[in-house]
Amino acid sequence: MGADSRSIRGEIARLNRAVSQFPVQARAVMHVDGAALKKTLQAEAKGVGHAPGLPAAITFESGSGAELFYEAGPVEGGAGSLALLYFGNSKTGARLKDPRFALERQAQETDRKLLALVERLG
Amino acid sequence: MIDVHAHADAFMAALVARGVRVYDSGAGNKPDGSYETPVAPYAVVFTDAGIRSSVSVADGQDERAEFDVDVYSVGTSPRSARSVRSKVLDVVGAELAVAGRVVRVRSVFSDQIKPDRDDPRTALYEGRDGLTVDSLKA
Repeated sequence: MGADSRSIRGEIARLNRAVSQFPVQARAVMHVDGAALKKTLQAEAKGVGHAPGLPAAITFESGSGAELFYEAGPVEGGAGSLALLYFGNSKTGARLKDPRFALERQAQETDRKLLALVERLG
Repeated sequence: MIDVHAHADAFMAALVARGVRVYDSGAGNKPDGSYETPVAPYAVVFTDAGIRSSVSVADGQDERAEFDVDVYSVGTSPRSARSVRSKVLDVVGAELAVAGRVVRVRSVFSDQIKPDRDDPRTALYEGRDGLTVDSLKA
């Protein structure tokens, strides 16, 4: 009986540690992957002759408030308005690759990291 | 060495096999390199050079490639454009024929079908799909 209650207390302590560590480590994952997404979009935006300011206008945010998130893209206004380069049509295609391709790729990587984190802490 | 042309050709051939008139990188450019005045309905395919990465497999390392493809489904009415899109999306999950490779298509995004506002005289409607072609050594 004593051994069982020690075991339960140990399990509760382990779960408490996991619960407290998950947000911290998940926030770090979101920061690293948000920065990686920004870098990818900046690399894709390089080399557009008439939009030299676009790469520098691409920023990112990440966080873990109500939900884990990161987002990256050109800031509004200034060079950010050159986000129009992402739009295209059947005649010309888009000048720049659609950012959803990079987001999809990065999100898959984030999924893998978060699952590994849950397995490690759990 | 991963053959970019073989992947692009296999993708367009898969659309042709589904009854889609396909143009390569601009309306009117036929996959064989010739040109014709575009006749709607049709699909216009834009491909990239692919992203390569090394992946671990049972007997060592393998080269993986991912090609991002934009496909515009174009028709003279929304219904016509949707019919093209339906055939285009039929390749999602399908295996493409590229020698020595296992090649599959997945959908990344799908935009609404809208009128072509650049040239109202043409009265065309179009919708874009973003697809990724995954390629691994067979």
